[in-house]
Amino acid sequence: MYNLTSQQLDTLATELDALAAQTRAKVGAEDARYLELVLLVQRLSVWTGRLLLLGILWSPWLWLLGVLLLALGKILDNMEIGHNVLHGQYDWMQHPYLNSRQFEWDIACDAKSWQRTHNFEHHTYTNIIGKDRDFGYGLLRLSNDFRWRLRNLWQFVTYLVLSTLFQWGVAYHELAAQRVFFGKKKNDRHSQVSDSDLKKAFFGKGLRQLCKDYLLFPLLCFPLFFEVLLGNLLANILRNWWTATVIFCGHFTKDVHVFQAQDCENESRGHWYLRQMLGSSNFTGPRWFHILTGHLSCQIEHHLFPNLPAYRYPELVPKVRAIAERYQIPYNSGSFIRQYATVLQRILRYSLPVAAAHKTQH
Amino acid sequence: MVYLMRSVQSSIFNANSQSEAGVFRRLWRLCCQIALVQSGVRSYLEPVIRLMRPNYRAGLQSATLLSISQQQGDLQDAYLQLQLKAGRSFAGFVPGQHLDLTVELDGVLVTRTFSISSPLQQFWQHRTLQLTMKVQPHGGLTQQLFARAGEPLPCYIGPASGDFVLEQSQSALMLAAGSGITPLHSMLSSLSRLTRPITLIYSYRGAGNLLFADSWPQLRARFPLLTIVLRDTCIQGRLTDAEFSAALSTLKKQDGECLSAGQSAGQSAGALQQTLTKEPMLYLCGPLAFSQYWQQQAKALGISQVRQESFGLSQQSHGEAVPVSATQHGGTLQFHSQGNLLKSLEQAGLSPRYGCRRGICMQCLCTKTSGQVRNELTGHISDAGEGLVQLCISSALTKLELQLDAVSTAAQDNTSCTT
Repeated sequence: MYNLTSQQLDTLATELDALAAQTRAKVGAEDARYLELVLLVQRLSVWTGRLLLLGILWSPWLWLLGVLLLALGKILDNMEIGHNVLHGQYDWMQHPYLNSRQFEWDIACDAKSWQRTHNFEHHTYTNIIGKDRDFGYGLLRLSNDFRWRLRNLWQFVTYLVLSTLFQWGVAYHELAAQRVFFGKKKNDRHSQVSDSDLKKAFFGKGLRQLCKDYLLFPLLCFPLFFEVLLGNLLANILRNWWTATVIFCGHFTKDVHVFQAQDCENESRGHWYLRQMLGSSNFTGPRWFHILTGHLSCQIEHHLFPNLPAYRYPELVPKVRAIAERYQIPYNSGSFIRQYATVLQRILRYSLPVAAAHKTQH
Repeated sequence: MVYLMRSVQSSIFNANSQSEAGVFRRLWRLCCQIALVQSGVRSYLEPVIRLMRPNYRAGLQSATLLSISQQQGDLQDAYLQLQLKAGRSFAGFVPGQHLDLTVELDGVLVTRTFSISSPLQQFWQHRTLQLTMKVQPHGGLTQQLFARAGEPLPCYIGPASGDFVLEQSQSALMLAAGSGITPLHSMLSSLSRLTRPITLIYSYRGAGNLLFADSWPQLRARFPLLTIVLRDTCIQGRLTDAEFSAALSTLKKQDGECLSAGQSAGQSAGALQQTLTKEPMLYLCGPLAFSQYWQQQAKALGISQVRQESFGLSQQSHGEAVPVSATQHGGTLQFHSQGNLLKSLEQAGLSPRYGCRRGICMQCLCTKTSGQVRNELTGHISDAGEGLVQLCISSALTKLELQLDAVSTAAQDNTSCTT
């Protein structure tokens, strides 16, 4: 695959392993303090946001500010805290609950279910057609490797709906893959979790979340029940839009590569690294912007080193880029706007039966 | 909504806790899970509380590290004496017990178990504890404490536990080796009176490695019934079987005299005499091999009552199979593991969770209660205490204990309530 010999792949793996080891040696008190600071900002913004929702008694602008702060809190919780902690990036702290086994996040998806589909499936089989269900989520046709269906014609609308309800899409993802409710079971899927456990986790977590945002907090502010409910709904939608956009920009940009399962059987570590670099895309921006994306703006670095604290990714960007240049591996990076535009293009292009030949296909 | 009710009911009423308190606790936990998405208020508020109390950790009892003094011993050995002031909620201890000490080092919470070496009276008066430990050549925590003595390190202690405690109604023969003297020092220095004889034989390697040197003359002076034998193995060699038997028979004789003296002094003889045990209790504390050896000897000599505590790192294996004990679904399985841990667990018939099998996805992450593992990807060797390990890229280096089931945060929050 691509034009690297297996020897080159091995040296690539050695170089990237060395880079990981070098960075891991630096990880320590500073990273722990950073995580704590993000947690603090998250707690404060969520609660200030919730209080400001009551400000609608004085001015709707206060309410709007509350919605934005609540959305900010949820975004930090999901992206910079939840995503990264659940990846095990902070397990070295040996903290009683800030670790990948114990943490639970403020999103409809059960953390364990997400770890199975995301940490395992998506990160192991990144962009392999038929194995990484994150590529198009079984809803969008994003390359010619997928047969065109009539429903692809309106997949742009599907995309907009998916973005709006993104947390539910993520929550339902594993159940869809296991055909828990609909469709014929696939024989080639192994699962260590029974369908009933999947259902229990899905409904348990989902209902707890619904209960919190649309019942508990609105009831606590009773005379303002609908104002608070609406604020929570809006905050959830803002968070959904943001996370969906960030994730789409990391994997569905124009130049992202896809792979065939047979090319990846018994692949070497170097091949896996190469696939991670080709299958992801970065976008640039100021530091605060990186933090809001949970550093998924450095998607390439994240895919190469999913277990390193994300806080370290920006400092890895130039180093990984230099390595990529040396091996003449394309390094897919650009401004947020440019990358997002190519995502929209991709969704639109493949909604038609015969998409214009895409040079970048493996 | 029906589903919610059902899941609410099942999560409240299922499993072990049938008591009312248990139901309320589960209900409270569910409320926290709904409102805060965490299983406890304290763990949720931890980052905020730490603004005011920088050493605060939910579920851990903070203790103040008052001082670390070093004792440079012989043969490159070194010892540390930690003085800790326990927090308000520390319930106290019985001399001889040990506790978990957690120290935050460079953002990592490192936990190890140590025996308390100070007398109980000191705790009553000042709420301070002393932990005495040998600096281990490969022990991450002791090495760090040694190198960073004087730094204000955040410390936490768990509740005292263990049944290696003194039985006062019996005569006692105590054998200690090296830093195994620590719990025995706590027992002896906590004594307020002594009615039955005690013999302590404390072996150490070189005069510099004698711990609590100031205490021994004082204890000898205070308690005539206490015989203390300090044995420098560099000069006198190891304790022999013959010397052990001799010490035992002297103790028995002394105990007999003591009992008959009590009788002749007219202390309610007869009935009371019947209840007193004439058999001495043997206390063993030292390295694993030491405790095992003397336990066997005691058996051969017909001593049935033995209390022992051993410590120290097990020998690191060089490719050969090492014993592993793994707990899953409440059952524990013992087997020998060689090479990759995940594979050997599966070969042993267990079904640990797994995913990528190449160290990416953290599906196989489980808790290692004790023992050292090597990370096959990075070559990093873990320390010997509790920690999380990725089974798919780890191999066992020493005797290992694994907990394959996820321990719920609820359990942790609950322990924090009771401590």
